[in-house]
Amino acid sequence: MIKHLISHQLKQSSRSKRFAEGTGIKIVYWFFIGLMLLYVLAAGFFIDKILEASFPGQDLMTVFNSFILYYFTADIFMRFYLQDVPILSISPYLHLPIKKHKMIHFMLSKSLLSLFNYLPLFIFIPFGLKVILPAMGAGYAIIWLLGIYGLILTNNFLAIYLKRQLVGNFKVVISFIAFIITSAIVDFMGWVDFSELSSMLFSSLGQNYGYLLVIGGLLLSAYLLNYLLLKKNTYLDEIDYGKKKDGFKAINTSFLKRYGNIGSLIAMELKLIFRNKRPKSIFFMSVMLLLYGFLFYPNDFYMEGFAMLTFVGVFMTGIFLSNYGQLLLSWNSNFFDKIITSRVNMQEYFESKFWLFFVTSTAAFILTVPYLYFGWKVLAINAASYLFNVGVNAFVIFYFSMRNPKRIDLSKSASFNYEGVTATQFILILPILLLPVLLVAPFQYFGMPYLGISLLAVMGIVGLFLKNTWFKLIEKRYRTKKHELATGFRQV
Amino acid sequence: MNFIEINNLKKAYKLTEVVNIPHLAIPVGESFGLVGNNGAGKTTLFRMILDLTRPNYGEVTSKGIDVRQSEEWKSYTGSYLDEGFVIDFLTPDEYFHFIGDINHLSKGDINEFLDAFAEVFNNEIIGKKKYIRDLSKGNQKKVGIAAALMVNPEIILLDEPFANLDPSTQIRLKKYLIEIKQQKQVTLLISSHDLNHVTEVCERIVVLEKGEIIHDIRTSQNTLRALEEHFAV
Repeated sequence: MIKHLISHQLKQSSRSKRFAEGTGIKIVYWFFIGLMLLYVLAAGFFIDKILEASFPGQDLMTVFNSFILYYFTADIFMRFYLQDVPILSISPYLHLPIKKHKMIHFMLSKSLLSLFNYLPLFIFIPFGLKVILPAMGAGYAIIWLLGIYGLILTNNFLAIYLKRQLVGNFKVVISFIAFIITSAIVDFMGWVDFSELSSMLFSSLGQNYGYLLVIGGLLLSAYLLNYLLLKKNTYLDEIDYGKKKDGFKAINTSFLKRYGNIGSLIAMELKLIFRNKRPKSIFFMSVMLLLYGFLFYPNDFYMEGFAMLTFVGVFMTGIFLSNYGQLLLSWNSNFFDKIITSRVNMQEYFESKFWLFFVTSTAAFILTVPYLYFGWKVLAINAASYLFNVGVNAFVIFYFSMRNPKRIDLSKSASFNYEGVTATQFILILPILLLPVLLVAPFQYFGMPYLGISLLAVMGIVGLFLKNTWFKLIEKRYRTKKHELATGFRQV
Repeated sequence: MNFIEINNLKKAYKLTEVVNIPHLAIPVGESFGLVGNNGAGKTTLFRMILDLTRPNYGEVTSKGIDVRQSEEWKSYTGSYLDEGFVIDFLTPDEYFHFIGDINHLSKGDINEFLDAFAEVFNNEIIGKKKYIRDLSKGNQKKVGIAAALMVNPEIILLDEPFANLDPSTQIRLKKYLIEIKQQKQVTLLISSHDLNHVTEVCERIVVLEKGEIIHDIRTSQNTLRALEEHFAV
């Protein structure tokens, strides 16, 4: 039986769309995975050197052990955000003669395959071999490593349990977070020194086999917690964690009524953004990135030049435009057929998107005005960048967004979701961010930076004045691309 | 006068021909039924009539104008082919008002139309704070079809409208379609696997097989039996 389940799982992942994605995406994806592994490996290999340098004269083991408790706390939060809850789409099996408990065990064991259970080993094993083994002997090192690994797995099941309770019993999650916050306060106020506690716990770990029993017990309880939760909830209407129904979110868009069709289309797009995870996270990410300026403005090195600050300006006032805009039509892929068979004038359709970006970029610019604190120069650069974004970049993005876009399933989650992203999007984003920098750089070189900044602003304003011409061009391109677009979006 | 006219229409994917229709004319006010097994090319034909798929050859005209040249047809055509026609993160109310707005219907018009559909919607659709994506398949379809009918179209295209609907709704939809055809001279294009329904609603039935028209019949008392014989294995 298990054999079948395993083979179905393998088929599921090898036949999934993620797997069939373009080679370009795959290369980038694995490049970053490889890079991360390399970092962790390097960190593990040089951990003793790093600790020695950071805490000279202290006992390496004591220092290392004092961090472990914090590590586990961070680990559980990271898992909570990033680790997928293992889902065996149980529904097609429920009516078959397979014992429920088998499926549950299978589903839980599947979570052990997560990368999160192996990455920390790249740190703990080198440290165990390089520092603990020579100092304390083989027996101690083995118990220490086994104990730590037991706790890593306990964390694995605890995180999954909490994540499941997010839809099940929210109080559990709240109490857990409250517990962590209380501990943090207790630690911060110095009532209990957690680093000392951590150091004490983990240095005594290696001395006694008994601790392994305790950790084994913890692991088993965490596993049972999940098991019992699932056992209780294997009914069709309760297990669809993936299809969690979001609560209804009313969005008042009546103020857009007076703008006619364009208003209706913007209202629709706003609902799209705030009722679907991925566009919503792009929106909030863009708000967060308004803080990007703080990385540059306090630094004299960057403040002297203009080109780098132009990049910052274009980035802050245009990040939503470039992130959301690069998938402009893909966001509407699920219902594109309706749009193009309805009485929607396509020029109005593109105009509605333009005004959405115009308003968001304007809002972003207004929010960056307080950077004035760092000087008028910052404000001038940001204003020019903003004009360039709405007057030039927006139309460039619109024009190229029709190049081979892909379907996006809006209901899918946001993290690590590259659906709809093709090489075009990667290539497109570069000139948008870099072109203004390249325009300003030569002027800076010849000592007339403000001329360059003015050029950006003028280009933006001219672009805005000619916007109807651009819309005509964009619509013309849409006409030649229409069938290709609709067919592409229908490919599930 | 012919509402829809198809000339030399050909569509092939790679080497498989999916639609090949030398000529087909659908007069104004006709109720036209399209039947055929899976893969016969029904949906592809509908998509080409709606300019959603580019034909390899030939043309479709609506009121004498090539659907690919002008978008005028959108203002008098109502259609529902599949889930790609509803916007699933909206509630049904929001969706109806969106479609109403872009078709210049007043709030009163929209509500009047929806009231007439109250029985069909069975209190599960209007006024509920639920997105279309969270509705059952049948209810999603009701929303899509209702939106197609709402815009006072002169011609309606429905792909498999009866599948997935509950029996009462199937009967109501049939009645409604027959009624608007008689009262408002609306032209209907319906595809269906259900020979019973399609013979009841349509006065002309075309059987499609591998993309080609192999029967073109006026519905009479014997039509159903003739069709059943044709499809019998």
